[in-house]
Amino acid sequence: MNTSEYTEKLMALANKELFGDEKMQLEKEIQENPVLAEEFKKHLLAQELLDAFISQDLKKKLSAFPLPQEKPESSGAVIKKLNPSRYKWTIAASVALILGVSSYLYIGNEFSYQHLADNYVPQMQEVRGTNMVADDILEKASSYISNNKSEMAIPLLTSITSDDDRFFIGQLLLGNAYYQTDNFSAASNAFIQSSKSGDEEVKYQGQYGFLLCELKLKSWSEENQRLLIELSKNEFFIYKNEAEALLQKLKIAKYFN
Amino acid sequence: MNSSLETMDLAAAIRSGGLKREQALSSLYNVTGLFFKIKQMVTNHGGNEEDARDVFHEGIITLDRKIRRDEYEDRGTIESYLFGVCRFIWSNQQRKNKRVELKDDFTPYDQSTGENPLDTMLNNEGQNLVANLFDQLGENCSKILSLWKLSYSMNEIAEEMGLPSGDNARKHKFRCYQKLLGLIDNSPELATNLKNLGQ
Repeated sequence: MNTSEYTEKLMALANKELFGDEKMQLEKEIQENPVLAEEFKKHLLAQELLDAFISQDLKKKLSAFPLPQEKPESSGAVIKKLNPSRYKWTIAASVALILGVSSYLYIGNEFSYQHLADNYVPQMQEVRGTNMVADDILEKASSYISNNKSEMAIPLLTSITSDDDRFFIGQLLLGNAYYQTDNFSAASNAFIQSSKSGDEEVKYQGQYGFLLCELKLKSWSEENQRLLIELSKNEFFIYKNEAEALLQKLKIAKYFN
Repeated sequence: MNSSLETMDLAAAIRSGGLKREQALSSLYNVTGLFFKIKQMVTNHGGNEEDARDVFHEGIITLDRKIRRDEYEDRGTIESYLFGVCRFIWSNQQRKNKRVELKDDFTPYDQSTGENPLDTMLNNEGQNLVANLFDQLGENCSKILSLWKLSYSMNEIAEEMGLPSGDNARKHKFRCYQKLLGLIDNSPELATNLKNLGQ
């Protein structure tokens, strides 16, 4: 092997990318050759330095994050701040369980689909905009919904056209607004639109909102069930645990509907 | 978000690197009530909110590092592990400051005692050393090597760095790595760490 080849191999070994015979062979050579052993130490140090650099980089990123929500919410409307590094202008509304998973362990024997969905109400995440036009609309609408004035949010949100890049978030908010005003069919349509978003978080929340509307509308289907199962297993869906809990509840509910 | 994250999945996502790691860390960061719990622990033991934030951040950094280095032991939930790490960090800091000492012993997290070269590098002096070294290496090289270390594929690195292909990214990575080795050769401060390695 020439020097470059040795460098490649030592680099791979130090980064734990070498396996099997190739790894054993090189380790043997390192043991038998003090010069190579000394060279390998340098590669190990390079890896340590990279690790340290990655940690420093993460530290910088974390410093730019807002501190997370402090207490588990148990009731009422919830305002959440989003990570601004991810959502530069934005926000999302999320349909989530406000009463908390534990609360509906005590709801008695009311297993109707509608009753199950009653335990879920729109949970708002705060809008932090920089675009003074559409973002203002989102921010205002978000505030209306959080203050149970969804009827005032609806005209604002319907004014966001489909060619606007905030359309999907707007639809997610709109779904929440309609949901809050008990217009589940309109909410369902808005959630379906938001579930077409390229932003996975908006998409999953749109899907979840749609499923809750389906419960409200007593239109639960096998397909809905499959989607809920997917969401309940999706590590990157922020309300995965709620979806999981709802799924468990539905297992019982199917005997009552 | 409830605090019953699936430890294995989250740890696996961090370990697998790339975008999954970022998403997993972001989920962990936002676990409802976790920061509150850490803040309570810190403020009940002589710290303030700013200390709590620092401890929380250090905890996440340590957890990330432990998982990436295969030093993470899966016992209980990842949140309780992170809480233990934070408690250790705060206890350690308090001990150094000789202000308050946490009375309860903390045993689950006894792996990071500052003994290995990386931990040494992560102290204040070491942080400057690392920062200077990567300054010299340059932004692009630092990023390419970090992405490689975080298990991004060569194609992903090419995309991230605006390079024409995975092969091209591989060549860049190799050149950057050689440059890093050169900087290590020329750094007397790092010679000490080099001597300590493998002992």
